[in-house]
Amino acid sequence: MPLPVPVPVPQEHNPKPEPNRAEPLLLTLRSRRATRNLGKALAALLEPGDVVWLEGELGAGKTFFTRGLLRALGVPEAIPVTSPTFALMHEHEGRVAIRHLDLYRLDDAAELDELGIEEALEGAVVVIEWGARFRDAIAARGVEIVLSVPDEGGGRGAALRGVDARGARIVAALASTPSLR
Amino acid sequence: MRVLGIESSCDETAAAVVTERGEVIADVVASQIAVHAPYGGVVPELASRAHVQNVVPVIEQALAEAGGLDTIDAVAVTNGPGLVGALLVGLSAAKAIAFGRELPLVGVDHLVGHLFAVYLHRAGELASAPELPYVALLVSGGHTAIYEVTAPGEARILGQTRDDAAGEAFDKVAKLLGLGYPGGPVVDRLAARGDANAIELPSPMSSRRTLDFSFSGLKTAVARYVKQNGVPEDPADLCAAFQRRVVRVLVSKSVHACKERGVPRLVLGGGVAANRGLRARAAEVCAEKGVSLFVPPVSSCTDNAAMIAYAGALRLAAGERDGLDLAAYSRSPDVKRGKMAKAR
Repeated sequence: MPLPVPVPVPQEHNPKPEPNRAEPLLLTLRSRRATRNLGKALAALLEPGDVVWLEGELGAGKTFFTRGLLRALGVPEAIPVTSPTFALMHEHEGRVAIRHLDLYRLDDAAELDELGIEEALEGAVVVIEWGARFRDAIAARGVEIVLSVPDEGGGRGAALRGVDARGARIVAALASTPSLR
Repeated sequence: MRVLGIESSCDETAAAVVTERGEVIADVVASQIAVHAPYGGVVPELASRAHVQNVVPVIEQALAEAGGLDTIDAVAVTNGPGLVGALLVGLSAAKAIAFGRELPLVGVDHLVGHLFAVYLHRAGELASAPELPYVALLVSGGHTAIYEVTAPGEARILGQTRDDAAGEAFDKVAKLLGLGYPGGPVVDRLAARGDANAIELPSPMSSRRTLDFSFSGLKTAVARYVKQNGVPEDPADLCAAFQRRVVRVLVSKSVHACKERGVPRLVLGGGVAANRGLRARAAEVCAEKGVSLFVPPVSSCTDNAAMIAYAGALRLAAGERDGLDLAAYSRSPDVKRGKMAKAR
């Protein structure tokens, strides 16, 4: 599979924010370890203000992926990283502040206000499960990761795509990460 | 002493009046008084979380049932864990009442509230309640954990879920099978007439070496089954197989915790404690192992403010008070292995 060309340095002066029309980066995560490695590689690239959108059917491994990502962001092992489906949002402290949201139970974008979504996006790395249907109401930025369970065999598939130009740069950097090949 | 309790940590807005002995004078939950609300009749999920709309009517009704604000001696309020925005609604109302009436104010941890709900009882009734210490299995949509409750307002966590709460697993399996939300009651009903042996599912982290739980793998196994075989025309067997795996591991680890701690008393709490399969299995194993089982009524198990008022009364009895600067928190402090905050 030809890999997208890495873009090494974040551009200070984009002539205009470029919508990302590139093909998604497709990865096969053969083991739980491979999933954790993806989390590790992504964690190294994330800064407060970045949003990670996690999509995929029930049981695709969204919360499992998030746990690996949060450990790599410095959330200690003693702190459980569990599903926020019921609570809607869990807050964590690693090397940065992290908010882990799950919008599975929300039916209506109006409910996002009740959740305090605007404050939640400030000053933290934000991971949002089941959020794509509300993306326009939240923030059209960051990286989208769609996890899938293959029909045959084990492991998981992951399709990564930048939602905005910064997200695209993060995905491009992942594409050139040796540990993910 | 009569304590007004206020709860707004997640989906429910609730207010209650309870005595220091756990006698419930009034117990109001917003979703149950929906007919009085402007949206009329059925409360959509959105409305059930509309704490700002609900908090005053709910408090007013609790106070009306209790005989008015003059009969109240103190205010207790959930100040965590939960969504800070939601918690602040109850917290602000509690502070306003405490300030306006010069009443003592105490904050209560929602989970500590659940752990002592077993002492709640109606006037004239006796609570079938254990002596301290006891082991508590708290199992709901948002939490699944085993605690050792050691003293009034104090507990330590012995094990907890590492991924999904048990109630959440029920809801998600119900969704996979197209059974609607919330899923617990439907799965429980179907499981009662299903054959749990008809379908092979993995036992979720059943080793007794840890008192932690994991339900994510079981959920994934059900998802995989449905993907390969389609949604069964009659999902009773699948519900029975799934429920048996969940219930067995919950009961087995709880009873094992009793043995490990040398505490032959087990209390069930949280919304999933309403599950008939769980109650039956717990009764069976506890009888076999010589453990006394205490299962509070469903109204005490699900989210309510009476348990907050009572846990607040325990703090007040210990001479504790909070100031009007009491803050909300999203995560219980020190919810790590072996430690849990005091009742605040």
